[in-house]
Amino acid sequence: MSEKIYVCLLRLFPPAFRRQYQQEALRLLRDRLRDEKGFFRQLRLGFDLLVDLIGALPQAYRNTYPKPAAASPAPRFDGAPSFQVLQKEPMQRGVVLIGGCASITVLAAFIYVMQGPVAFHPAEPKGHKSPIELVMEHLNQPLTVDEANKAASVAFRSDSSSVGYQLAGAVDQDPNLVDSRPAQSRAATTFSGSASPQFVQPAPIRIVVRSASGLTPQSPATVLENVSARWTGSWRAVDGDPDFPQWFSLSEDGAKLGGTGGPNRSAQYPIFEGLVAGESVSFELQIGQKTFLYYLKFQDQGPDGTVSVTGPNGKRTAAVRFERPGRPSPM
Amino acid sequence: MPKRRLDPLPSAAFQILLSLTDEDLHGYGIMRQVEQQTSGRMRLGPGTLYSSIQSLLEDGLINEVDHSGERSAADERRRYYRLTTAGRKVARSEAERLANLLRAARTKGILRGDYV
Repeated sequence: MSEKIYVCLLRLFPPAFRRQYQQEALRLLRDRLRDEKGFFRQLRLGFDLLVDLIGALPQAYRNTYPKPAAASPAPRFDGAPSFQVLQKEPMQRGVVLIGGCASITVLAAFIYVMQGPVAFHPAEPKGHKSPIELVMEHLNQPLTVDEANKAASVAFRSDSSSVGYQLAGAVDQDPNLVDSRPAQSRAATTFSGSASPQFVQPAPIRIVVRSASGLTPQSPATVLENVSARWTGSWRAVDGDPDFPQWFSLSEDGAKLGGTGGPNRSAQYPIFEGLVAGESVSFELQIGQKTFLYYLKFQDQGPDGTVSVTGPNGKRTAAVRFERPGRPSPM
Repeated sequence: MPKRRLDPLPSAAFQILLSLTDEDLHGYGIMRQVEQQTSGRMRLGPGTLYSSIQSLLEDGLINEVDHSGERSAADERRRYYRLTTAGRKVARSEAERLANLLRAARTKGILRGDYV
């Protein structure tokens, strides 16, 4: 083994060890190269050095070494601060490599975590919601008919003679275009920038607000009384997949529907966007990366309807039927 | 009291302590002495030798001595090491431990030949 190769191998040792003993180690190697002549002795020397390298590295890294004496800063008598570089060796490539690998690993772990579904933690009835959650919940709350009529009774007209907007008369809002924010804020957003808005005499208008699911919220007096219960059933896809069991615990609060649902009693997930309208209910369920959108109509035997499953593999629709637990499913 | 790094004493460290019992030696001298006292069975490489020397220095079992007055031109930059009193004590206790082992092995009758 030549001295140059051994110098390269010595780079595996900690810098403090090399600073302290590199010259001594090279001197010892030169002595052995001088004394051990012949092919087999040279071969044995190379083998010895390799074995020594493997065996000595752990101990070399466990040892502590005296720190090199720090150079005393040059005295400055003019009061100006002086600086000195303590680490004169440039950053090693191994350090850069390890740092880069560690950064990539951390970034990959972060991306992996962020790709997963966010756990749903339903807030308690009395609060514990963040201000942003409260505002978003308020803005996403569907308008009742009274609220919509009251909010829309204010019309705005632009002062501009060329472009005039007037909101009056009978208005049917497209469910896809329904803006769930309060009408005041919608109007302020829509007409800002064109001219100073001017209030005009409100005209009698009729606004029919449909929910996103196509159901019309009803007053609490007209909703079904038997929605709040436990329901079991199954759904079958149109393309003939086997039945999938269902277990739901629904609770209604006026026109809203809450509760949990899932494939069985032990695997339950909170439902959201639940609405009760007459004999129909709609709600959504999120399980993993799949979203289940239920449209059910209550019959004498129990609710039945359809469920649209949207997931990574696309969307499909299945027929679903529920009944009270303990009774055989008709499907 | 913190546990000593060289407890138990590694074989290489013990051989280095033994090699320094008679005289002060530099690294290559220690290597040759160890090879001689082990009948060629142990040849310390630079890594093992100087890692062990550093451990022994840290524990105060050997120290570095100045031989600049006695050095030849070839030994100008060599470092010499000397066994300290603590090092001699540790070497003796290690030798006694090995002697006890040897005695036990002899009692069990597993030693044959001219072992002491």
